[in-house]
Amino acid sequence: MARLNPAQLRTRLAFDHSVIRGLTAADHVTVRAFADGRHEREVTLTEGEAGLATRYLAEYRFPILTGPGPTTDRALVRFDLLAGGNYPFSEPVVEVLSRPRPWTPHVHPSSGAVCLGGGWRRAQGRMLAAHLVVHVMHLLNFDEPAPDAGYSGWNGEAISYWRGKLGLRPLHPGLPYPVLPAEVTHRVAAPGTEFVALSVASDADDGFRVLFSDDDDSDAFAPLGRVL
Amino acid sequence: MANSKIKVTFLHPRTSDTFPVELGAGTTGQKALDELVKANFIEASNGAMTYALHLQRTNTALPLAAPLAASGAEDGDKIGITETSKGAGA
Repeated sequence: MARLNPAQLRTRLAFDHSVIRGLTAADHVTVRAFADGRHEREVTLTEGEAGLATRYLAEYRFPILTGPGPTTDRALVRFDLLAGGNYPFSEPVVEVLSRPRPWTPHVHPSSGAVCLGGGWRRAQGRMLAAHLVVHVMHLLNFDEPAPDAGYSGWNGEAISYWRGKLGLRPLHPGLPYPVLPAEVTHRVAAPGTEFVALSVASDADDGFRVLFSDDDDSDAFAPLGRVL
Repeated sequence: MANSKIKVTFLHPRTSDTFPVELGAGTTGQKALDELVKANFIEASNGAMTYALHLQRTNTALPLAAPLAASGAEDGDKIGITETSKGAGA
């Protein structure tokens, strides 16, 4: 399995930190970054940018089931990025610290451990800590692909509730999830900050491009050249 | 009948890759995803994960069943693809 050298790991951790800081529409979750070590402490912006944030504490704030009906209005979840021993190829350890525990198929009722599924392993190092923060929010909201027949997870009752009471729909169908900042992840301009130079009209080029066609291709999908 | 087309750019859910395309007025979100799979930009969806689309400019979700243009996508927009995968448990 691949392994990052210490400098690469610092760079990756710094990138994770910048993406988490830039999460948008994060009205229902707050994430704080911590340094590794015996005495956990919140990192400064400078330390985060230097790749020193290795643990995150996410507070999810929306009604979360604690049983077949009752809810809690918050859950505190810790993400230990390095606990698997080979970040980002090994899966971070994620656990719920708050009580009462969320009542879902993926949170162990006694330990609070969160079983993340195969997404992290499948991504082979390309899944970010911010993706994981959003993924856990999906899990707490029962908003994920339907389970296989016979799947019971860590909480068969919760699966039955999801199938029967919720009809395999999310607990809160309209819940807005945080969005990763494309200006960081894809280096595109943030909405509203674009600066587009307009061509100056001249005899040779009037700056007008025809974008209409008489062809009936209303459901067209034409790649314009892939940019990597 | 004349149909207006728009140029938009799709953002990969896991990497910094982008994929600019020209869409017809009737191109739905699902059709776009299907074409992005055919073009090997994203993996085929399977039982373990699904995709959703997100309009970066307005910070809103784009329904897969409706034409993207009718849902608010405009020329020059960036459309994020998000991947939702299953959790697990012993």
